[in-house]
Amino acid sequence: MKGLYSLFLGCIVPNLFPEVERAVRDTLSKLDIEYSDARGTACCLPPALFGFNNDAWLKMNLRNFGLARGDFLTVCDECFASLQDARASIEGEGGKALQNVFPFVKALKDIEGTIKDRIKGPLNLRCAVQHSCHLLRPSSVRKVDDPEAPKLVKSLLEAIGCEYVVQEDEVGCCGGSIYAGSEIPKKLAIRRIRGAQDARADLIITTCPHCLKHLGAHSRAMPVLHLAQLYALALGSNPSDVGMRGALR
Amino acid sequence: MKRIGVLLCRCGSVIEKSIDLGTLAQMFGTSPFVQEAHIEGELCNTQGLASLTRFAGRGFDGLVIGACSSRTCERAFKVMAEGQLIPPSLVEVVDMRELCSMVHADSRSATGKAYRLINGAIMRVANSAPVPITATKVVRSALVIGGGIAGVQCSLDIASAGHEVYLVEREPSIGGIMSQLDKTIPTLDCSICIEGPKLSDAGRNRNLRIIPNAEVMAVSGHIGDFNVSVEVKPTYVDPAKCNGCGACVDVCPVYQPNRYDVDLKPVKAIYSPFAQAVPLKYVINKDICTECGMCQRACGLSVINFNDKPKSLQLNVGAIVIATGAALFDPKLKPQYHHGEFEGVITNMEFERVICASGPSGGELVLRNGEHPKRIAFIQCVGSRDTSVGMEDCSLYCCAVSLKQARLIKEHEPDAEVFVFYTDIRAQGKGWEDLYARVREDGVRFIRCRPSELMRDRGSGKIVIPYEDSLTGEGGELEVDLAVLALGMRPNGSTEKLVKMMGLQARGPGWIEEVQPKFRPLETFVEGVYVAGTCHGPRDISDSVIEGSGAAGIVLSLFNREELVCSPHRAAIDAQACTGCMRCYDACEYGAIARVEGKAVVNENICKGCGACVPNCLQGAVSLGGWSQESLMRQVEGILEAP
Amino acid sequence: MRDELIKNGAPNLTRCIQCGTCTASCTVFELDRTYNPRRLIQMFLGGERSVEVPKAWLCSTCGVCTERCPKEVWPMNIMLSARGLLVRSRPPKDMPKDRLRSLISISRSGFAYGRKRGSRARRSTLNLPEFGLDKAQLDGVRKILVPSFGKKLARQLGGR
Repeated sequence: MKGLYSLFLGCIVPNLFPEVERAVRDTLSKLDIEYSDARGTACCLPPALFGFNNDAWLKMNLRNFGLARGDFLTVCDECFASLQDARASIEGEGGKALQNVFPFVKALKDIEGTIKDRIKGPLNLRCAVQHSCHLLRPSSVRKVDDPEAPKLVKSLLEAIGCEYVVQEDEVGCCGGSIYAGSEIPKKLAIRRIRGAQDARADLIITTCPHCLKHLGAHSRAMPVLHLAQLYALALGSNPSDVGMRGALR
Repeated sequence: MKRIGVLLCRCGSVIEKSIDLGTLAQMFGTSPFVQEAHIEGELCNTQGLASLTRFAGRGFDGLVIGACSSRTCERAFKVMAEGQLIPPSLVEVVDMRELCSMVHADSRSATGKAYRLINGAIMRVANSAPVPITATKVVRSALVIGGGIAGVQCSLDIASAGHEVYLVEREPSIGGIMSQLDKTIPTLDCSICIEGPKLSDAGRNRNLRIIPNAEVMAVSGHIGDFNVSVEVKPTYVDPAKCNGCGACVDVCPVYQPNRYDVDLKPVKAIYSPFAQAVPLKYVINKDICTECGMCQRACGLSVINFNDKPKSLQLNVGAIVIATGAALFDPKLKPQYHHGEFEGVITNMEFERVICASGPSGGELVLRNGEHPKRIAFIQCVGSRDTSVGMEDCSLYCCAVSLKQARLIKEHEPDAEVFVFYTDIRAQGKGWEDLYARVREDGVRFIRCRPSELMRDRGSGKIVIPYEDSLTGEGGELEVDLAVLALGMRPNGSTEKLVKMMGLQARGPGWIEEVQPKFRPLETFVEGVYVAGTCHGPRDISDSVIEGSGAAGIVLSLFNREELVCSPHRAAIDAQACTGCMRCYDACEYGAIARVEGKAVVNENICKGCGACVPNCLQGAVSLGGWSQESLMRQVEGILEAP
Repeated sequence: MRDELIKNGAPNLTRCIQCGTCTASCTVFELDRTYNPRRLIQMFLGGERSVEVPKAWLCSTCGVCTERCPKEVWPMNIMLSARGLLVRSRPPKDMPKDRLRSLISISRSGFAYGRKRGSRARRSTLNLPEFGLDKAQLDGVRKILVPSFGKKLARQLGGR
């Protein structure tokens, strides 16, 4: 459905990373992607965090869909997965009548061809990507990109003059959705950060605030940014507004 | 007035228990159409059939039998009745068992229903005329499509019985997948050594005409009388004159990948696929040939002609056997195994060619860098038992092949460490369990896990396999020099083409479907077209050979008949009433109706008697033999008549 | 337990042939060999409720098992279904504390993460609109959440 997107901000970005929200809004408006806020929506209750509780999950998301004024555009990939699954679990015509759900990267992909001409200049950064598990898998449902050799984020980075750094474990999980209290999330985060360092990347890029929060918490020297922040920068936003600390630019 | 005989079967006591046969016989006895009504025991046993024969011999015009629903019994009854001069179209069997006694709780309902059904049948038979029987000739030659081991066996059996066989093969030589194997299971015989003589027999048999480099383009006709159009690709070498001396190969300057060696070792532009090829005639791949003419100069017999053109052959055969074989699963569909990307990952067929003495490395087990692998892992079920790639079924052959290959590794490299990653070891063939035991004695390690992916160590280039041994729960990462993917089987392009061309049924990923997998496993839904070998599902060499002979048996049985009698239940079109609108043609799924001189005409040999065309005709010009509109109306009236 | 799982988000449970691809691909198993999705699924298939069930909270939801499973069993969904059952029938005790805190946060503010100190001011500096739910919207959220969880949890959620 063309036309206005209904921007679904989720929980993490507006509360913990307002600079990323600024970056998202700047990117969308500078690329002439029209949207309006999905006011009144609440947490999408991702089963990834809370397990299947169909009752609450379906109802919360039906409530969310009821407040959508266009197809949802999510800033968080876990919201994307949760909303997409909720929509799919409502069978038949009822489900099809609900608005569609798209991740942030899809809005960019749709106008990919025009990006090069709109940016102020190539950023020339070496980016290691933490691919978002919930964006890619299960690919038969998400239908966003090739789960074994993802190309979307790579081409979006190249469109703003950045280099996609090849890492040994390309599509591995950051561990951000494992509950606190286990040692494993930390080990996985450190592995990703070390991998990016070994590959001589300038920074780690992600499209999901869960990865952003988790990797950022464990990283000292290696900056971790949301793709929107790079895009906003490339399109001319004020670096400090979109969360760029001194180390970069 | 028709004189009809009515025979009611007790069916052990199944029918008799709930249906009052005595009353029925009495009531029918008084019908104006019925001459005699009689009750019998089991009509299906020898005594019963004898009684039926005697009864039928009492000079009736038609017979109505109340019995069970078995189609086999119906056939037997009609045959017996025909022997007593009652035409099969005037013999009607009414189901008193499954339709009446088995589904009605009380005797009154069951008997009442039986009365109505039999009465209806009597009315139909009384208002029917016998349908003339036609027959078609049987052309006593066969077409076998596919020269793999199943096709070769089938062709040899038919040819040895004295009939002409055309064996159409896509490649320059017959032999199929078996010719590419090093050893066979479980005895580890050299594959081409045991297949070669059979291919040679096929090449020498006077009744067997091998047509290599050819493809079937069109098929029409019906069982007993098919017309097939075959296109023979130009080979640019005259097969009649070429004696296979190979002088041309020595001087040819152009190389190409060789399909026979799974593209592991190149051959020249002019080539024969392997040393024991039948026929041993060279062919040129014009796509890469530069027409330099070196071969022409080297050839002492002037057999090379760069102006060769495709040839078209028209064959007239009575039966067709499809033995087009199968292809292997495309490992690219499992990108997590990185075949084609990591050098240390090969397929089971690539392994077979490498270990084979006639292969790219002369039978030496070497990696691409020339080194001998010290640690090898087999990955089972690649493209089998995998719904995520649309291949639900087990491919049946790959476990045993990996066992064989593991054994061969131990023969070539006794110190090598071999691991097999499996889900179940399916060693169901004769002697296969023994091979499994032998391989374990050899020290081959079995780890019950289907690996999720293959990785590569950045430094050493070795293949790393993360796994969980599901029998111990222990996890680990195994580093190997070589990983062999045990690829499953899938239908190939030739099979797909034939299915479309001939309107065959296919199931799953595209295997040709049989009429009945247990009792009629080699017949397709098109009469006269049979299958053998892996074109209808994965199987090994033994079973393919069995099926080749099986299909030959069916064909020979067909050829034994003087003529093929058509069932009387076929559509017929009244030419006077026909306006040529061809609505009947639209309804026919079998392609049995054609337009001839402005009118619709039914080919009785293709018509299956389904009756779909009958209601489509607005003129009422189509009738179904043995089931005229008139007789059907009387049948309905008979059913509606209260007892 | 097996039938409960099948009915609550894991309909493909019985397709499993225990091939081990899920565990071989598991992000967590690689670092913690006691977390074994295949083994857990075998226990679930057995029908008995095992003391190991709470291990289902360790699943990272990376989805690689589901992507690679040759029988389309959807192992990740089975773990999520198991979590759902745990939350419903054996409340807070088996739910990790941080998850519980998130649920409470949702019933308080509508969102799993509450506002950071100074975030309102920061938002205003960045020219971002005010963010949050009004009382009526929050009531709507609570009405959905509270009845959906077990009594003990509901008390904790509704009690704020």
